[in-house]
Amino acid sequence: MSQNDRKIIHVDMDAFYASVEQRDHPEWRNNPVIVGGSPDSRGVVCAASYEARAFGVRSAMPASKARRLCPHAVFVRPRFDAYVDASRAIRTIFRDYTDLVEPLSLDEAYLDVTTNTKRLPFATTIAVEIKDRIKKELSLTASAGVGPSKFIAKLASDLRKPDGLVVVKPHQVTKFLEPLPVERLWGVGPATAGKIRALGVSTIGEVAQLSAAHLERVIGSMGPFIHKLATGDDPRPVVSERVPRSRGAERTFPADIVEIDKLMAVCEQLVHEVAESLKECARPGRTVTLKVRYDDFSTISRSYTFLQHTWDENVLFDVTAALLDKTDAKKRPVRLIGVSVSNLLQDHFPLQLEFPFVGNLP
Amino acid sequence: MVMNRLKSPVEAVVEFIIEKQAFLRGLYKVQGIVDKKSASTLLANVLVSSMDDNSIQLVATDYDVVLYGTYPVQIIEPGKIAISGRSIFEVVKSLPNLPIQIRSLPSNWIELSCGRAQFKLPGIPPVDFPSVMSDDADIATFQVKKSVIESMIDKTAFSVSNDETRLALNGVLLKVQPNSDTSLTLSMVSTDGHRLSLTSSVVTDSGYSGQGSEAIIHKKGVFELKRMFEGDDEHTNIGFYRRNIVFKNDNDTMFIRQIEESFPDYEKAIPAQCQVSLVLGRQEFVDAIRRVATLMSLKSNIVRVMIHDHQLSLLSNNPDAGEGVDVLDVDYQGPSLSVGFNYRYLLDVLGVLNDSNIRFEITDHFSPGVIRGEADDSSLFVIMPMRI
Repeated sequence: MSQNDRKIIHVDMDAFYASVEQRDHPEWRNNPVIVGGSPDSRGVVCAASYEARAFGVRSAMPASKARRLCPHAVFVRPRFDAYVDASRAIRTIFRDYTDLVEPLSLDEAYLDVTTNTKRLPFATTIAVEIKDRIKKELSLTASAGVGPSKFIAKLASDLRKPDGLVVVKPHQVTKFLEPLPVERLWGVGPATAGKIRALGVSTIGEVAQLSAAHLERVIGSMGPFIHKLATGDDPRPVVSERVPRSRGAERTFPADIVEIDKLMAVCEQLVHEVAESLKECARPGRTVTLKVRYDDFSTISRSYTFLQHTWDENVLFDVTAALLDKTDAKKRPVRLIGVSVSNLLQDHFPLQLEFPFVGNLP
Repeated sequence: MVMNRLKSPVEAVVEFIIEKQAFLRGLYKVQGIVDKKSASTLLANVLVSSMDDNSIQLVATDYDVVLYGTYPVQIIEPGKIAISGRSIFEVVKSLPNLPIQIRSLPSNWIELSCGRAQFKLPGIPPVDFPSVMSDDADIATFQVKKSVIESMIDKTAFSVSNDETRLALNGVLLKVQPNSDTSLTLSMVSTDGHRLSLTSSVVTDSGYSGQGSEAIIHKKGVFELKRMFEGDDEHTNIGFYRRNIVFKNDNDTMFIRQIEESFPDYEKAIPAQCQVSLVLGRQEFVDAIRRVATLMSLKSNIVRVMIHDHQLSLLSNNPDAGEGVDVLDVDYQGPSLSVGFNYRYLLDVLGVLNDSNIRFEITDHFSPGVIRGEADDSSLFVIMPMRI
């Protein structure tokens, strides 16, 4: 089967966290809702309803700024349990059509429906059904994009939000991409876009006119891949099960912390969360990394690599405490602290078993 | 404990003449102990002190280990010097086989002459040399043949853990149990959590007056002991002293810091009985493992041991490099069995056994395997399998 015969759907929930809040709190419907940290603290916006977005509120914006832009908005703390529940329900719907589901986050996923369990010939039919079911079963709306590749499907889903559906057929790809600005290319951020625009190139169609070698000279090793995308060629498969590379947890404090005991207590909690998460994905890890951000926003990390994979909380905490000791945490106020475990055990790797007494070592 | 701060005038003159070979031997023994990474630390130095009219003592320490060595010299002026153990070793090594004259100069410099060669080396004030355990303490010891200790170290040192988060496993457990007669049983155990080595020996006429005792000897010392044992004397004396394990030869004394942790309850890790017990020619087993291991990738050292009727097969499988199998005849009849092991762990054990035949016992793919000499119950090696 050639690449262009693939049928990929990208489903993206509309203002997901905020929509879940509006669904569960009918009195907030049609009002601006901002999910995130308190506007009195240094928290940030996780999600904003479309009503709030009209005032310029965006994700990742400081909550205090969001309140200046939209003072009458309802500010709510995130309820991740509710979002995870909704996300699970959505993924269950996806899996009714195909096993090739690649979640990107709680509210976004790719589906490869080239062959699908319902034997539906048109991806568009599936996209419509999925959107309908999400609306009926979950009282939430989603936007979907259909295309011959992940790149096209994702661009398409973003085009008519909210509650949109855009279908790009293989023969329409070139025309579809041509007028879009270079920033729409996957992997092209502001810096890369600046380099491309400096060539006098501003649309994806114009990028496709360049040679791959030329683009490589200008933007580096990503050049040939970006060029391929610009010509509509995106061979990346939909990968249903991603092998995680690391697991981590971090906290930004409402006020900087100086007391080492408090930091230790936070580390203990973070280690607990990370250990649980490692067990959840059934992958012990070998490298523990502690991240510390000081009051002046300078960030350092310290890590330690075990000889053996582990998810033992005590072992992880001992090392984390030792790593914390290597930082300036006692001397300088700390704004954020994070613990992550990487170097996770991979499936194909045989696991060296340990004596039972190892678990009881101090 | 006599923690004597060494008091000598900073610029006292000291002078002695020593044979090159004797000095070189002494300096060689401290090479593993002096800090070679940073010459600036006090621990990079070796302290040289005159003892009486015809001997000097060399002292080196890294805090985990302290080594005292006594060497014959001709003292001209008594006193002490402290000098980089690394640089004086390199200098002495290069010298012709002639007497060496050492003399202190002002500001802690040391002059070294041999034949027509002459060196000036910077030293440190001897008073700055770290305080260490005194070697003249009265310690209850027992006498053991050096060859016995050396063999026991060989059988256990390889399975000490290098994981510094598991302090209790960073050394060899030394156990002394006086028996009802005058003999005592000496055991050494080590484990890195994946494998365990246990060896013991009965020492007769030890002359030990102490009680039964055990201590974890820090691995640093374990590796230095072998160097210290290079000498003509046949015996060494072992004792426990103030959180240290002490080894005394005719001319050397080593204090090794004891690891202040409790050693894991290792006896539970030793299976009372295994399902399958096979006798194998040690060399044949080693050859077969090496053969299939040629395809092993660096990351996974797994060799699969499969047992069928009358046959033991060793299989290696590397997706990138291919696969290999070799077969040995064994006296076995029963259900087939397949267990994965880190082949290096197997070779480590087979490398320290001398027996021409060994006993290899396994139960299933998640229970430990046991290796020992066919006719020798004094040593036992347990290896956890790898989950395939």
